[in-house]
Amino acid sequence: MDEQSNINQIEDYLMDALNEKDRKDFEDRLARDPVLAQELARRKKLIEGMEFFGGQRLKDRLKEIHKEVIPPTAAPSVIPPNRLRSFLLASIAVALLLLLALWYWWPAAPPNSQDIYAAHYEVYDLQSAIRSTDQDARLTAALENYQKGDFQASLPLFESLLQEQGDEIQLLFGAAHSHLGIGQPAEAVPYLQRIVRSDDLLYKDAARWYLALSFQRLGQADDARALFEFLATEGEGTYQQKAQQVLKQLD
Amino acid sequence: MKERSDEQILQQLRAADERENDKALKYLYAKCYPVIEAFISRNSGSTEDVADVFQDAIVIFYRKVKVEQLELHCAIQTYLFSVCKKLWLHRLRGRKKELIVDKDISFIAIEDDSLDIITRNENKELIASVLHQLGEGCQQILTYYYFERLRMKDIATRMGLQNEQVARNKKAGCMKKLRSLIEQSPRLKKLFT
Repeated sequence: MDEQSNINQIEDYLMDALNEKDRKDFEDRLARDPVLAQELARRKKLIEGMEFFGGQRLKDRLKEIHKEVIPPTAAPSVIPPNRLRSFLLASIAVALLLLLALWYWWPAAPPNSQDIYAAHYEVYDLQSAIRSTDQDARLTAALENYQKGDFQASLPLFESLLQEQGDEIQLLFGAAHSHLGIGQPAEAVPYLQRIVRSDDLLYKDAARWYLALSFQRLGQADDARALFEFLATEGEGTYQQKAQQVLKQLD
Repeated sequence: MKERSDEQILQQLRAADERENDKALKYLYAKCYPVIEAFISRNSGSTEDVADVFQDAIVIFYRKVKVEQLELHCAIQTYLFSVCKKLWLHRLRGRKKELIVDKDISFIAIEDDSLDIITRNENKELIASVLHQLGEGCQQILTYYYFERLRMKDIATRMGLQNEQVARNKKAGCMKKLRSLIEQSPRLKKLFT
């Protein structure tokens, strides 16, 4: 048997690719031939190393999937009090410059974060997602206020219910959408993230969609895009179509 | 997110088409990560620990599906959770912490040798470092052949090669380069002689 055939047979043996008879013949040769046994040991180490390397490559792929599927946790920014004044002054100056630039560039500019948000944000119909019972007076009141568009009144009710009942998906949804209704996407983000990270499947796509819009509104374009891309390929029905539409606009 | 049965996920993972594999991986990530995150966070794990353990568990599961044609006698989520629990127990060794497990979550026994594929040792690290020196094409073909155990015909399709024989020749060329790199490394040369 030539060297290459020998190596092929060793590999086939190590990778369980030999049939019963060939396997037995090979094991007989192995028992009689110490050189073959040595070569087998070397090859085994090499294959183990290549398998491990393959696992590391898959892990790299999973890290990319992680970025796409798991929304980042919003880190609150802390500004030392003694730097607050200069920070505010600088912010005002930057805001004025931005406004000026926006005014100058407006006609030719592609859709920005705010455009996307304004074009796609709709007040969510909570009534279809939440069912209250007669005994649940506070939930009923929260829903009624929400439906009337009085988000300032619905928010504390949803938040107090959440404190008492823990991470109920429907309540998280109510609190998130009340914040969005008031125009507070940053405050809505943690609630939406809790839904996305839950094992609930029913509201996840809706949560991802509003989370993506919130990130878009907050200027976290990369985080928003990752969520839109996920919905565009893995989302269901309406949210898939909406995400595809946004991606077209962004491109 | 479209609900998928475990059988559909296994089919997608077994497919030779990498895009199908990715769809299943994304689905598993979105569905199972939150449960694992809650478990590891409750047991003193950081965000980085959660991601690392979960990704290791997926590597173990993926490999079992690809190579051993794994037949599950439990839900995929139960299997992944059980692997994560085992991995996290390994990492907690020496920290004298008691594991808190939610009573609602079921798990199965995982054999120690299931973890071999992700277990590090000097030999594996050395070989991996040499493989990193090869071009992307060689890294791909050797991963497809040895880690995923794809057939040469499927490798040719995945890599857009003319036919099975071209894939076979490419693999042989890559192994030749690998051997030459091993020859140049005194530590590896010692390991292989």
